[in-house]
Amino acid sequence: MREERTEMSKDDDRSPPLDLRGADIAESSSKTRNCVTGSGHVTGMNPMEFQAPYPDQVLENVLENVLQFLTSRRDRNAASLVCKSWCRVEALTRSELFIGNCYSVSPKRATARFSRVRAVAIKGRPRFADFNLMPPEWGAHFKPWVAALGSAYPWLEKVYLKRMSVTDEDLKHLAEYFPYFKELVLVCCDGFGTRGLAVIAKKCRQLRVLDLIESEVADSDMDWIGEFPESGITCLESLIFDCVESPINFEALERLVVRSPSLKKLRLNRFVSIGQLYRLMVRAPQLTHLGTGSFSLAEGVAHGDQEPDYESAFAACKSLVCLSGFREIATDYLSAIYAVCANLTSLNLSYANINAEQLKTVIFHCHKLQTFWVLDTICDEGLQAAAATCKDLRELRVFPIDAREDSEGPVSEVGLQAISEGCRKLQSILYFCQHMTNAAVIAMSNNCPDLEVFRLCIMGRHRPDHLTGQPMDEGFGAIVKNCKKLTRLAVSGLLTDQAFSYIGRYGKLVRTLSVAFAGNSDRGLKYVLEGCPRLQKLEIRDSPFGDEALRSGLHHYYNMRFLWMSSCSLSPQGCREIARALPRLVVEVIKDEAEVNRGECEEHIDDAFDILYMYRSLEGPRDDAPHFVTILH
Amino acid sequence: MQGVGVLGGATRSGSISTLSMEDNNLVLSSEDSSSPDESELELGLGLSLGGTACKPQQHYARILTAKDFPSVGSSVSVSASSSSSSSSSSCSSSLSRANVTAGTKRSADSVAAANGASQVVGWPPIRSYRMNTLVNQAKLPATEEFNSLIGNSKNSNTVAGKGTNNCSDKNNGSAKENGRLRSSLFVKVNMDGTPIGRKVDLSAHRCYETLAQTLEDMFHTSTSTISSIRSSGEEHDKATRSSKMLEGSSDFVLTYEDKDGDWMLVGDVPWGMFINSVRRLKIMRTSEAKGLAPRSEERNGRQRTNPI
Repeated sequence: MREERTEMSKDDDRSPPLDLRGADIAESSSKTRNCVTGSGHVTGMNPMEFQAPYPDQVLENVLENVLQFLTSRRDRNAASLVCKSWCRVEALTRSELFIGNCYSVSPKRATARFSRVRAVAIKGRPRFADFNLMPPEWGAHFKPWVAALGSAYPWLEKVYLKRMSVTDEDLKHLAEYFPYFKELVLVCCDGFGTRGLAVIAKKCRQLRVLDLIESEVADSDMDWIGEFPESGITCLESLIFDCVESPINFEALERLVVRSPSLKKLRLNRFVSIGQLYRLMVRAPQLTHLGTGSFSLAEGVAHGDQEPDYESAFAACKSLVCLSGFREIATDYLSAIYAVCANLTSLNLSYANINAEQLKTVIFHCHKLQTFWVLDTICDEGLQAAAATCKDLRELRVFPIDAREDSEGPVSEVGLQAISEGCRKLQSILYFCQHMTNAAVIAMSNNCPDLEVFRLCIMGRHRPDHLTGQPMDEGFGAIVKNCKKLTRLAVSGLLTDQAFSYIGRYGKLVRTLSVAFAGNSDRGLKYVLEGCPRLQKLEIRDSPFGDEALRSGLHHYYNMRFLWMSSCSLSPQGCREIARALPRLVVEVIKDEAEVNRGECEEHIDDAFDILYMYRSLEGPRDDAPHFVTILH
Repeated sequence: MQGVGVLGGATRSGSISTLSMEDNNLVLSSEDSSSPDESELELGLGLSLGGTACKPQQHYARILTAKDFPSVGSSVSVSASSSSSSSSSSCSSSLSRANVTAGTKRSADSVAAANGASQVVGWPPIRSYRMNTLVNQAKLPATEEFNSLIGNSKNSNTVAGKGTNNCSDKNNGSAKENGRLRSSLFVKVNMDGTPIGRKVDLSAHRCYETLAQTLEDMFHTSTSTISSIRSSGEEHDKATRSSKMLEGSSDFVLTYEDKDGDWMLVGDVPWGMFINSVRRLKIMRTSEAKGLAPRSEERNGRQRTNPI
């Protein structure tokens, strides 16, 4: 799965500098332009070039048989660069198409190059859009894709979308165009509702996977669960709808679960009570992934002696490895899960307001735990307990129950230190806190050499090490220096340019960097742009980086998926300069529509903007940009 | 709990320290927060420098703009501007440079923290889904004072004040609303007697309780007249009048202007309907609000479902 890369220059026959390991895109050189598609005609951009005489057919057939085993998209990107014939054959054998930025390539171009795709993954909006930093309706519409995919790949089986706008209409088309459709995964998407889900449920008879993850699903008052076929066995393997904020038809769900013997993953939304959960669990003891829904009693139901035996229901699920949900947890019932804890590799309590004592009773059993998401209500003490038991922990996320800058900080450097000492195999951490020290961060950098993702969010902006009063430079510096596998970093707290100097010097594998309220001057950003060759995604907000810093990345922007800078010190001229220097870069400047939208006419400099969002693209400026987006040239 | 994206929301004493420690960044003190009182500045991106409002008839203005506080976002040579305790002159100079325009709105948001308010848009970076879900779970402090503002109690089941949050509708199958979910929905809020208005992001809320809480925080310790209520803040002439506002007496009611331009009492209709039709909010004196007919007057006897 990959995307096409911007051509550096049409006439440029040499391969532009390419970092194959790091880049998740292929160089689209002149070879690609002459790739022969399945139907035999050339998708060329340059009519002057001849198509080379057809190479040895036998060799190509051999190649095809070999290349079809390549699954990693990076390997495929590399293979496609070897020569024209490899490029052609690779395109024929690629079955999973990954588009990291939906605007970097048009549906037409993508489907023209790859003719035998069975699975498509497309990502849309930039991540910072999740935090209300950008007006809605920015774009990333699935509509043009569904149309193109429909005509090019009638055999399409899987669609994975992240941060895209999908309408009910689009879902209807999905169901209509693809008779073999099997898997739909929507992550952080919006624009659709239960009406669209109903169509999918009804028409996709081969549906195996319907996963809605952190998406906004409008309530169109439709019983979509009831639209699944009422009779016969279904092939459903995964049904995830914990983000759907509307009630469902429970009886229909129960019948569906009974008819789905292959069902392994079921994540319920908060409208399913614990009593209902019980009924489902006894009908589906084969589940491996369970989202428990509300985990409390239905309204009007009292705590009585007629309660089902929740413990045995859990005990019966011998294959359960991943547990989540607990959306409105009634902590009395927590003990029901003890039986499965020993087998759990993943536990998500991040919506459960439980304290350290309550957590301890659970975590004590979880020796095999590798992924743990939790709320900071468990305090440092809870983290210490986790550190003591979960020696195999790979991923930890600690979310704040009270996400304000000046709230109580139940977790701190104490918890982080404990985790670093107890969980030596840690690979990924996301940690929200109010206070932190350099010492704890340095300790983690030393104790956890396998760290690949380090995201620390000190919620108070510009907050220094609360014991020494020093900036957090040294802590983050130690992370980039000691964690040699680090690919993703999010920084916070008081940071000077020195922190960025460290990142530029040591963060050689960093691909994703998130910066907020940090740095002193242009030098900070320069260090990063000049020092990090693998940088793909850079998102910065409220930091004093200006035009000069922006200029220092000119050599690198074609290698990146995107750059986001909001509330920094950029000027329209500075951005325009970039747009002119790099014609294959789409440079969007975005004004906050919240102001414009209210029907007020505000005087402002025409050029003023809030956000710079730029990305490479083969297509030039998009044609669906809303009025608050200006594309510079 | 405050939702994400509430502009200039709750003020808290003591959190000012978060911004005062470092040299290179903006040094703000509580005195600074009083300066926007005098200047009515539009939160435009552009050059409406101190004193000019874009639309004269809209006499309210946001409390804070980037023009008051050259924050980290709006000035390259931060050291130059941070040395002064942000007076309008220093920010005018920093902004008169034509090339420094980027992000003036958002940095204004970040500057809201100068007041001790921690409502910076998109910070901390938590998705609104999570924020809203946790709000629904968290035990809200009794919002009895504000409940008197919210409608005329046709919403008896949403007037919480019980320490538990009725926002979370466990299994009520009839709690359906038009789910037009947007990522941000800022509306202006004004209070009678207060020249400076605020803005609140309605999409960060899912029920009237949290909105009430937010508005209460917003208007009770702001630099405007009602600060005296919470026993902190400055003295103002109008303190006596407004001191009764949030303490349970019904001197003021919360109203909103809907799509048709009519002013309605807040709290009568299901939340979703409210979100879809609200254009702006106003905290009106009860005497002036008497003429308002709640939209749902004809539905007096109808049981109101719990809005989500």
